Amino acid sequence: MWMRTCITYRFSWSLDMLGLLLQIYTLKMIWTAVYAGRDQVDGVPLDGLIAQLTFANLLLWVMYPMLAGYLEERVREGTLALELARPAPFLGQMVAAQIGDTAAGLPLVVVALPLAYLLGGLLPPASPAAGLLFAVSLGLAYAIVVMTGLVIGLVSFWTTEVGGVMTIHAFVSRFFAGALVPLSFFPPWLGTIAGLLPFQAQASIPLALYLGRADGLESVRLLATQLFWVVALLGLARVLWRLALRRVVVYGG
Amino acid sequence: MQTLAITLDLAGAAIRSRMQYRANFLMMVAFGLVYQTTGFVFIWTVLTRFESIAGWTLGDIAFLYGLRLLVHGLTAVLFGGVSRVRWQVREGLFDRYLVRPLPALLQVNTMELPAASFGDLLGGVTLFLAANALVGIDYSPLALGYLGLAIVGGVLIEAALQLVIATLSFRLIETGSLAFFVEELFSNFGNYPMKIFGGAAQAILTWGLPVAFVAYFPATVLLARTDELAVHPAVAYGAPIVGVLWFGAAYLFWRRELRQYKSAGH
Repeated sequence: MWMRTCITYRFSWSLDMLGLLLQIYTLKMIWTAVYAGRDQVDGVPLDGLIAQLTFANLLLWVMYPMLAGYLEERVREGTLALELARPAPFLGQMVAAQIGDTAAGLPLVVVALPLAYLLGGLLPPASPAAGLLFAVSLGLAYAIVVMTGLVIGLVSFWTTEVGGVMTIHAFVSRFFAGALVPLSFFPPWLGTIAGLLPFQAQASIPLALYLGRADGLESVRLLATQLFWVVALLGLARVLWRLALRRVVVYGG
Repeated sequence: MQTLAITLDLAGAAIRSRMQYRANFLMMVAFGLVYQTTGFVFIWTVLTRFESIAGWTLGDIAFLYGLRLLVHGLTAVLFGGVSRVRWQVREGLFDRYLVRPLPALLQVNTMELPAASFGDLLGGVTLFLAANALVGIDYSPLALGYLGLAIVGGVLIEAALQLVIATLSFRLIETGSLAFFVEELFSNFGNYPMKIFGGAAQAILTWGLPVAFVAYFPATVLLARTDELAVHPAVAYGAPIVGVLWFGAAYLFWRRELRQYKSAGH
């Protein structure tokens, strides 16, 4: 049902997509100017770099965790009480809404992909195996994005407002996911911070596998890192949810 | 004269009402500050690894970026109400402006103090001053005068675009994403040396949408980089005039549509 709600706002969606394509184009032009005619820097070729940034921005756009906003709205408007009474578990309902939202965006990806190829740049997977690893890794990345959105949304039980947090999250996640500057170009201390955050697991890791930048053992380590974040964030969301439920009683009077 | 006095009174009332929630106000300011400066983190990261982008050093780009943010923040503080017109129209709140004697635009902009915009402005001023320390421009009275006029011109351009979109909301139902898109255009292309985007993009962003006039042209004048421009340097020097023209046209459009305004639901 959410899928249908979203499709109704086609005009908003297409402007949103245009915004994404502009960002991709801007990044391509900036990085082309930065490379200034060099084919590669530190073993990173320009076309690989542009493909990575294009893909990363596309991925983060498709996977955008709307559910944080849905949760906030329900807490603020109080409709939460109604949904809690439904037989399906509440957090499950939120995740389902998110999946519907993402599914509604998929047809747009079909439109966005060729345009992103023209304005940015794309490459095929390094090998069939790399493509397969990427598919697995992408599933894990999506789970991490959804869990992150859930955690942010749950914060609204305490703040009743997460608009600001979401806006800052949108930048922070793009930055630390390596969608603006590849993590290998970060200054070492910033790279260390990026390695400790879950955002790298949202785009940088699946794309490293796609572009064949990780060998056998390394790719296992990358997948394990993602798995760790899925479990850790799921645990955090559950703890927050249990604490939040106690507060609901307070608001309900 | 009386119009000015009333406008100032209204603005004062908006400030007082905002200050009733001081903690919230400060939080919004902090948010605006963080949000606006995060974008610069990207450029800073690139330039810690690479020396320059198309010949522009970190200081040069900070100067351009800071000038754009300063203009954007000032626009948001002075004309922030314009971006709320679209929902006021939809909710039927807009009608009250029309039965009062003060020009509607002045009422719109003094209705509520946009707290986050002060953060934008603060971020812009801070970055701009820091950049000035880096590039060390020797300000002559003439250069200082041009800077002042360029800032006014930039504010008028950004305000003109927002006003056009607000005016469109009299007839269209949903203009929020359009407003957001135009803002994206300005911050995507207005904050970086425009020559990296190629000739066609530059032409569109000069003669189609006046993005180049907001900060890029003034920055090339003040940094003595006008020889990299695709247009005659005189165009860059004339940036403030372009602001007046765009705002004048936008205001005429607003006035014309205001006369034909039909309340929501008609």
